[in-house]
Amino acid sequence: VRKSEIAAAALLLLLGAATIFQSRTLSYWHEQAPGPAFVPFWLGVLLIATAAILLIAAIRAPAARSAPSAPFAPSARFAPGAPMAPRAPAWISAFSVLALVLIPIVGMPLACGLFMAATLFLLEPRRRWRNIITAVATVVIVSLLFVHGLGVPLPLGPLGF
Amino acid sequence: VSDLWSHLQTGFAVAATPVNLLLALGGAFAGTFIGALPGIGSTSGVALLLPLTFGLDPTSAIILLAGVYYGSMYGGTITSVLINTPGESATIVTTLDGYQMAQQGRAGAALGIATIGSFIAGTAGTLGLMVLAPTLARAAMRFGPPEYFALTLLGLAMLVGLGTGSRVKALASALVGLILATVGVDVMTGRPRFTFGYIDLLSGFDFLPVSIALFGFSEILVVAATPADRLTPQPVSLGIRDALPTRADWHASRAPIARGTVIGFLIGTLPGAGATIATFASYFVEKKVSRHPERFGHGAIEGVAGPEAANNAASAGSLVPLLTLGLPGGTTTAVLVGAFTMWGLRPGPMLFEQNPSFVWGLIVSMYIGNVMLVVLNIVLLPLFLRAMRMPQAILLPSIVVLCIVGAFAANNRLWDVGLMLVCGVAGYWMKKLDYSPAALVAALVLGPLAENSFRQALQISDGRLAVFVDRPIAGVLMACVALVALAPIARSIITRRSDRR
Repeated sequence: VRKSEIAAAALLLLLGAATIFQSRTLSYWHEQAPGPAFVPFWLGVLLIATAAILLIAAIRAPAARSAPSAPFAPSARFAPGAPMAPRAPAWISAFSVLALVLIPIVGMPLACGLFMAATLFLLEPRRRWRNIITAVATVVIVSLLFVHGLGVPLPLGPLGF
Repeated sequence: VSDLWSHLQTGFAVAATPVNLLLALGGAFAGTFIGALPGIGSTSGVALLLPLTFGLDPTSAIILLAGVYYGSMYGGTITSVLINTPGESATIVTTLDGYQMAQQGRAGAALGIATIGSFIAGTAGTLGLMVLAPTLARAAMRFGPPEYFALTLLGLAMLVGLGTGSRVKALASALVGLILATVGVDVMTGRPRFTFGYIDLLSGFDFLPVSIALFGFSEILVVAATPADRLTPQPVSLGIRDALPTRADWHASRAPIARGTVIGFLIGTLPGAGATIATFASYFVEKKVSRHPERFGHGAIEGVAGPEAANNAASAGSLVPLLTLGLPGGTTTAVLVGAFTMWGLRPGPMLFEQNPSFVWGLIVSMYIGNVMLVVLNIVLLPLFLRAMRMPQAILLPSIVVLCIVGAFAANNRLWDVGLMLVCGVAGYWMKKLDYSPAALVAALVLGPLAENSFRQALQISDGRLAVFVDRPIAGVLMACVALVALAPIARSIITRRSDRR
């Protein structure tokens, strides 16, 4: 957690510095009023100051620290224990990115179905038939609900769905 | 009074149409269902269902989403009581005594009193909204750019200052949101800012993919990282009769429900405060006034009744700053501010003048929705218990699919899906490290209003910063900002001094 805290604070510091650096290309004052650079510049300054406080606090913090509670979520969610599948958040993120890459090739409904299948087999590999049926149902529901029901122009694949 | 009566008639004419009644029922049902799912709360529900409202007119859309909002307050109680996992941050306090009651075999009484308390508080809160909002909106009509800037600053300061996590991290989150809000074409000069030549960035960061990411996708990653046993409820069988409180339960809960309603509504009306703080305040008060405070934490029904009334009254109260000033009262209303903009409406005092059928249709639908919810929660309790047992393996990827399609539907472009995924992973780490996604989204939504008001105010005053303090309303609001910002510092100095003694 401490390393992540330091990395997060450093990232914020970088974002603040980049904002100040980029705002140099814009006008600070424009026709007797603040220009487009005014607000981003001062936001960058404030972010650097805030990030510096967080960085110092993270560096000074003892190495072993319990996980903090989430501000708008119950703290129990990060309690130690066995998650649903090893590295499940990382796998779900990776499958989502893969679905994004596949959308222009196979269409949104099929890409969503493939994502569903991959995640289901990750979380419950033994329930093969249920996983396959759920994935097929996802393709059908996404097509029917969004494309035909709500008229959202989702990218479709070569097979027309 | 005659004005109020005619407004109510307008509201009934809008809300009581068959389509809007169905949408209110659908929203209330979906909200309770979403609230009953461990880990998914009202904000996630509203963000995820927002793309489904694209084909609807704004009034029908807000009736649906408002149903989801207050419905999830009812539903969130079910997981708090039965599996000690709040389905919603506003029901965290309910776990303290609600779960203990369930352990003692009184889950039905806890859920029943929570439903009845929520109904009373929700209805009274809507009445308060109906009376207070038009008055406040009339007062806000006199606001100019300096007042609007001061007001948005106050909203953000309160969101940062009154949050339940680290204030410095909440401030950092808000600053990131404000910086992201500066991306795109600068409205006052027409020049692109921080777009790096990308056409997709010209319109800035759309709030919808970011909201879906921070409240939907990242929530799924959080749940996926949660130990499975924490999310699996013990088999509980409850019938309709179990959810009806006894006379003794009702006698013990009457006063806590009344106090919770007042506390919840008042705290809910503060921009940025939200329902979570209201529930903590109500619990604290109940424990203080109780003759047997030692019973709290061991299954005291007052510890369920008060906070449950408070969270529903607060959700009605949080619509006061939203409808009258355009400021979010909490996390869910921050998403609603963005939704208003998406529907082409500007939340604020003019809404009452320009869109009376929208505002009064919403208010009346809340009365109707509360009646629907009390029936739904008692009659369909066994069904919601089954919803809790829905396999996480199916639920989680289904919500991710909804996130992907919803992010695309915002502007019909894949760029937003990519943005949603990046922000979702960032949101996961934000939650893990105690940063505030709510402050980020609120800042992203309020950022353009704050910046434009700030620059316009300086333009009309020839660059004089004193314009923010020498106008009476702006001055009072800026004093409140200073108070909110300095209060935690003063508190920590006082605590340190008393510790030294």
